[in-house]
Amino acid sequence: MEALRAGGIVREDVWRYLTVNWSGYCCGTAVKRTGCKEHEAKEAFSIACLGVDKRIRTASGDDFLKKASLKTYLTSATIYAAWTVMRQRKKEPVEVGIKLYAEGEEDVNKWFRQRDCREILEKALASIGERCKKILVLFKDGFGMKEIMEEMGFGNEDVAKAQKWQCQERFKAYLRANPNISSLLKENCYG
Amino acid sequence: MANEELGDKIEAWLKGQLPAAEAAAFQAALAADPALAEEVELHRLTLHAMDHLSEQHLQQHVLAWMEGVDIEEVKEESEKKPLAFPYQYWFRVASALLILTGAFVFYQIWRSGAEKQKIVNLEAQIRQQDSMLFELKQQAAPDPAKFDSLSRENEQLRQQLRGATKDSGKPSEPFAYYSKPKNLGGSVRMGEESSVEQLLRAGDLFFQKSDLEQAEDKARAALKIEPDNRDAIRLLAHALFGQQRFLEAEPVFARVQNAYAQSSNGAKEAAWNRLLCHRALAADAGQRALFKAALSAILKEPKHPYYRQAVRIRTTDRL
Repeated sequence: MEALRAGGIVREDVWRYLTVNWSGYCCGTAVKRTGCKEHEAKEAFSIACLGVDKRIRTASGDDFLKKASLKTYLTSATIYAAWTVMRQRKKEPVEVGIKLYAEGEEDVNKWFRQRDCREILEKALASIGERCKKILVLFKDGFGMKEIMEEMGFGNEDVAKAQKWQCQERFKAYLRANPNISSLLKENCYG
Repeated sequence: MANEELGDKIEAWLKGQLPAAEAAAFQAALAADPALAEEVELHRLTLHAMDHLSEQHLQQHVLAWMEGVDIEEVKEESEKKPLAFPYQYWFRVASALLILTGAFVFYQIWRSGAEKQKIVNLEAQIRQQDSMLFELKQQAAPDPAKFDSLSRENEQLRQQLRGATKDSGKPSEPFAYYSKPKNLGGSVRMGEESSVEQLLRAGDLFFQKSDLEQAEDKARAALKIEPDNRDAIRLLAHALFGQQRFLEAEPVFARVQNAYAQSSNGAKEAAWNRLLCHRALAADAGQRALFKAALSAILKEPKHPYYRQAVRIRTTDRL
């Protein structure tokens, strides 16, 4: 849990390990429980991972893991996400028939609710370019300054910070130039 | 640079990382400056955008890492319902154990209560018959048929009591404060053993194995050869006492007491066992009176070897 919270390359390594070792089981259970396709189960697993990652990095941390192991929790969230994916695609999922964790359902529901918001953000973020997106991701994911400098080829720390600031400013500039998008995000998504 | 610093400050404020005083000042500035408020709003949306980028980045990675992963065919065993409460299983096990333990304890209490009641009833019947036998003995010409019949019934009741106390594993009340002697085989002499000594040794072995009837037989056989043999009298007295034949045991203990010097430990042990016989027969008023007299005699002698037991008896019997 600490590794996931720490961020950076360590967090990525943990998620890689969990995905390689657990996704087969989680997805298999989701297929068996909901009757979804394999690719739908994989998508569901990725959504479940996002919920867990976000939850672990919040202040309440890993409280939800007092109820179950991480693997059980991920499986439960994957089943619910697969079930929701099928419902969204107008397919009739098989009744899951087991009790799922409320926190997992909440995370998945939130993810689906914010789908439109993510589309709007995606459109807005297109204006800052791929390089800027990468810089912001590295900062957001807690990569160390050295790793960011190496990854992006910056000469020193100040340049990296200045680049981050410029990317943020570029995004703000887009929002200033498009007040309708800005107000849409404020009012409907992150108000 | 000033703008960058402002950006850092806004970010720290949004993340709740500003010290209290600075946060309050910033809040005031925010209320007074609409441009700053607008800047903060835009920065907040920028942070959400960064969150989104981070999520997207992780999701892409997860999907890529899953490329080579085979979806497991989940078998029935692994389809067990995830427990809403992880301690539920242990809670169930503990509850089941608790219920079983409770039922067992309840059964034991009920059983021991029933056994106790049975023992109490048998003891009461025996006491009553002892009293009747005592009264018959006191008569100048007792009816031998009636005496025999009462004795037989008494013996049957005693056998039942022995069985009941064996089952319950607890000694019956008359044996409280009775200490089984370790050696009733008489003194060992050099040379060839006499037949009396052999009988006493065998009797002692039977007594130690709680085969009291055999011990009694051996003691009686020894007494036929040597009617005044002190060890044989002592063995007989204890064998009778062990069979709860207190009425018969008491005069034999009196013989033992007389056979020893008045102040010797042997005489005091015999006197104590006589007291216990009187106590066991206390349903009879005469026996009760003898018991009380013997007890108060011991209580007057703090140095008496049975003084402490006498004090305990006085407490338990509420005398």
